Amino acid sequence: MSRVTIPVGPQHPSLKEPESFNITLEGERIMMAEVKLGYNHRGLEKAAEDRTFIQDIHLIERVCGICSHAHSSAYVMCVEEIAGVQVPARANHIRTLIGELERLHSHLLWLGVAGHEIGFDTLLMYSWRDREPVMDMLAMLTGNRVNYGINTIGGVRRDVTQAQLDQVLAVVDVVEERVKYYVDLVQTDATLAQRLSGVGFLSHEDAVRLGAVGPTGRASKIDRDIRRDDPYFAYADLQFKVITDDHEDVYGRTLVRVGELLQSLSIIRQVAKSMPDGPVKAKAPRKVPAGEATVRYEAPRGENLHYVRSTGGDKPDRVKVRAPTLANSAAVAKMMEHNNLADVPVIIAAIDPCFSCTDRAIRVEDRTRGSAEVLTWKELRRRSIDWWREQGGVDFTAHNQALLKKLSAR
Amino acid sequence: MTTWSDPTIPAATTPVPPEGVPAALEARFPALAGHMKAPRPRRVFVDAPADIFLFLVDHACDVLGFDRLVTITGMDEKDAFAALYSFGHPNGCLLNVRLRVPRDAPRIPTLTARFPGGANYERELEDLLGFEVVGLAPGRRYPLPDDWPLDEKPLRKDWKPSAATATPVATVPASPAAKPSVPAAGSPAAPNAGK
Repeated sequence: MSRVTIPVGPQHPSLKEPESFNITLEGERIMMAEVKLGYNHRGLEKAAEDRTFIQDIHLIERVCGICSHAHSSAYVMCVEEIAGVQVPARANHIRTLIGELERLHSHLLWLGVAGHEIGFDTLLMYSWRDREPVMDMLAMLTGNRVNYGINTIGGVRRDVTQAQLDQVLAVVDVVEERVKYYVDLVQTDATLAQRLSGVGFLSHEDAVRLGAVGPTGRASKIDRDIRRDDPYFAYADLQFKVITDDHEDVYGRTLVRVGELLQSLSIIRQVAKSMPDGPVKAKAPRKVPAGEATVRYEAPRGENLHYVRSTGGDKPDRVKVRAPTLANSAAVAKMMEHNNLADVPVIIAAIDPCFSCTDRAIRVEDRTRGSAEVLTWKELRRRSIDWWREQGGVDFTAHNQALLKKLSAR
Repeated sequence: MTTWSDPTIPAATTPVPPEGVPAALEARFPALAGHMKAPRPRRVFVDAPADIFLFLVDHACDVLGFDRLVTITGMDEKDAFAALYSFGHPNGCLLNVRLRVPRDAPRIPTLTARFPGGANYERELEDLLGFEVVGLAPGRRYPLPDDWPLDEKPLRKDWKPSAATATPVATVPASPAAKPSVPAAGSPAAPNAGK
């Protein structure tokens, strides 16, 4: 049978983010896949060099919407290491708490997406509903559902009260009950097991060779977790298990993630119950002495590395971000081989890809005026309407006005 | 079968503990004496001379047990370019090997034979800093857009955006303040109000 190569992407149904794949088929079977990334590159590393260490926290936090804490944490830990700042124990506990709540909401989000990709939308509705209390806790503790803005150099920007911790513990009980149901579901539901087993196979040897990280690697028997192997925050004092699996397919990746949900809940309990007293921030210098540091952080999607280099000023000389999806992108091409074309969406989703962090983003700036701009909701709305009008898109203005007239006439 | 491993047992047995890495490297490559630092546990920085770089990588991977290329960080050090290779070990140690290359000939060897997943890291060096990676299989560029000029390397310190790359972002046209064509969301005049 002759081979056919079809492009999938950059815009396609399996993900809401742009990336493209060249998939070579023999009939329905995938022979080879090639990944093309870069559609979300907005020059963040360059932008970080023009800003101070403090301003960069704000910038780096926006590398990713889902695991923003993973990025800001890795960055501030780099700067603290170079500056020799000792972070208070209470701050480390708060950072751990936010980090695990983030993992909880990220994995629950993934579970829903995975369900959606295999046509199991009930799971999407359930798991996203159960994700809401976690988001509420994040909003209560930090003031925001995503991009928490909790980290600063030397500690955290907000303290937590005992009442808040009690509330978190109450929510953890509720979420745990639901997560136990999902663990049971994934382990016993025949449809789910049959749909996901053998799909997106990645052998242990290939996973090691291609450098797979996080749940993707752990589902191929790579017993690696930065929280245990290279502990940061309060993880060295906490009891938790690293979950690995030998299915080496999408089913294994699902088992690993639901198992990690239970571990995260246990970590949150330990942290909330053992919250030490004391300050939440140490004094940090505005100018950071010359030096360099690399920090790894176990983000929900896997190992996240940040490198910061200072030459002694108030701005970094180099900031490097290596997000987990970039490490997994070589593995995803391998996973697709010998699968059916119809399995492509769930295989891609199974690494829980996040291309905005992989390609590293953000710069709202007007180069002609040389000024950064802040748009209000109204202006943003106005801009989108004008843009569509200029592009010859559908203009609803007349329609809206007619509707308005009708309504007011009633 | 899902395994719930015991965190008290190290992930893998390793021939060299993290704190022994600098000594083990120096024993094999005496030239590295004074070119290594270990700023904190499980972190080693090495400045590798170009002539022993590949031998050092082989030694670190085959003998000391480093098995992952975590990333490659390219940087412009003004007098030279540098590539910082970060290798990961099952025991949590991170070995950072710095390879300096002259600005006028930033040539580095590819490590994709050993680490096929590292191709994207090497393409990043090519695209953002203008390294020449010898032996890297031809492929699509990463991460800059396809129409970005090949001679513009944004992470170089002397890079200035040219006419081709300094495309102005569309500005917000001054909207007529008196009568907005679309009622603001949530305002009483919105079509869906009261529904």
